[in-house]
Amino acid sequence: MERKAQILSGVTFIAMLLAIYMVFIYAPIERKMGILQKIFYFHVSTAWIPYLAFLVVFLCSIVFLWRRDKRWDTIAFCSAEIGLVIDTLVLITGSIWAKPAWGVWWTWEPRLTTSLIMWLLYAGYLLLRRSVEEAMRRARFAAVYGIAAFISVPISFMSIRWWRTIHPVVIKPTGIELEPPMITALIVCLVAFTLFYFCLLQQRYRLKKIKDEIEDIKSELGG
Amino acid sequence: MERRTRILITVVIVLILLGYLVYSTVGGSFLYYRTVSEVKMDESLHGKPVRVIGKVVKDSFEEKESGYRFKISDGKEEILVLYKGILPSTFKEDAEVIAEGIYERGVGIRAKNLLARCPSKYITK
Repeated sequence: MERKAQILSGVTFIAMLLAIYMVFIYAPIERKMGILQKIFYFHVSTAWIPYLAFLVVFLCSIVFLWRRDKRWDTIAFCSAEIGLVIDTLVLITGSIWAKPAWGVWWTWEPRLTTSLIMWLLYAGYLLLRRSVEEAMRRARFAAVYGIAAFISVPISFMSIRWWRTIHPVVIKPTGIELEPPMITALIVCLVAFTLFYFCLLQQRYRLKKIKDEIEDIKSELGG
Repeated sequence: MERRTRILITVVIVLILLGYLVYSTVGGSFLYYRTVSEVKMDESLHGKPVRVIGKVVKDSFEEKESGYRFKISDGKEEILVLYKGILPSTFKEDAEVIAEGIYERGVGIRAKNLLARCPSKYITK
């Protein structure tokens, strides 16, 4: 198990280095926005992680309610936490890019608003978990909430396709409107950040399990 | 009981925030922006805050002491935009912009904010 974690960390590290190379050296400079457009690679590849992380929360919540095995609840919790942290980065990188590209840090348009709602819902998920003390009850509440909150994910994803927005739609059903080297760089970034997510999830899960075991021992000792 | 109260408060706060966000975005209409033709056709918008999208009309740009004046167009109709703030870096003729402000009858849009809409297509040199 330890060995697997080390391999995953190593592969992630190499993928991240490769991603930096692809973005800053391999990918060409965009004509209109220049060097600014580089943030696109990080923004898009981090933006997909919360969607993935919250899908994991959703699936693990369903399996938990079905099997009542606490391990699924632990994975859901860890995934929600990582998803929220990375989602925060998405909002920050998006805002940094919006200022030079659109002229404002923030505007209440559909993609930004639905993404903020998603962020709030998962912040609420973590708050809810903190407010219930008994473990099985907490897991049950969190699972129901984790399933319901997932509705915000497809809405956030589809918002730029359903409604009038200022946010660009780069990946369309007709294809990606990017030049081939830019697509390659984007794919490398997507893979690197996906590996990073699984790497964090594995480490967080291990930590959480150790913490829960300590809590169990404490309560057995009458702590 | 106490735990339940805490959960309830959390849920209520989240719901209120969500409700407010949804209302402030889509409240009234589902439209983030309107086209120039849509604004010109709708009498009820006079004196109201609007967001209008359009391309900056060629040779319409003027810089005066009172601020910038230019026209935006959707290909069919044109409307005058009055704006005092900082122009977005991508602002130029034929660029797509969104003007946020009050629609004044007989004048045009008195814009508080001017946003540039970038192309979703990235091209190299």
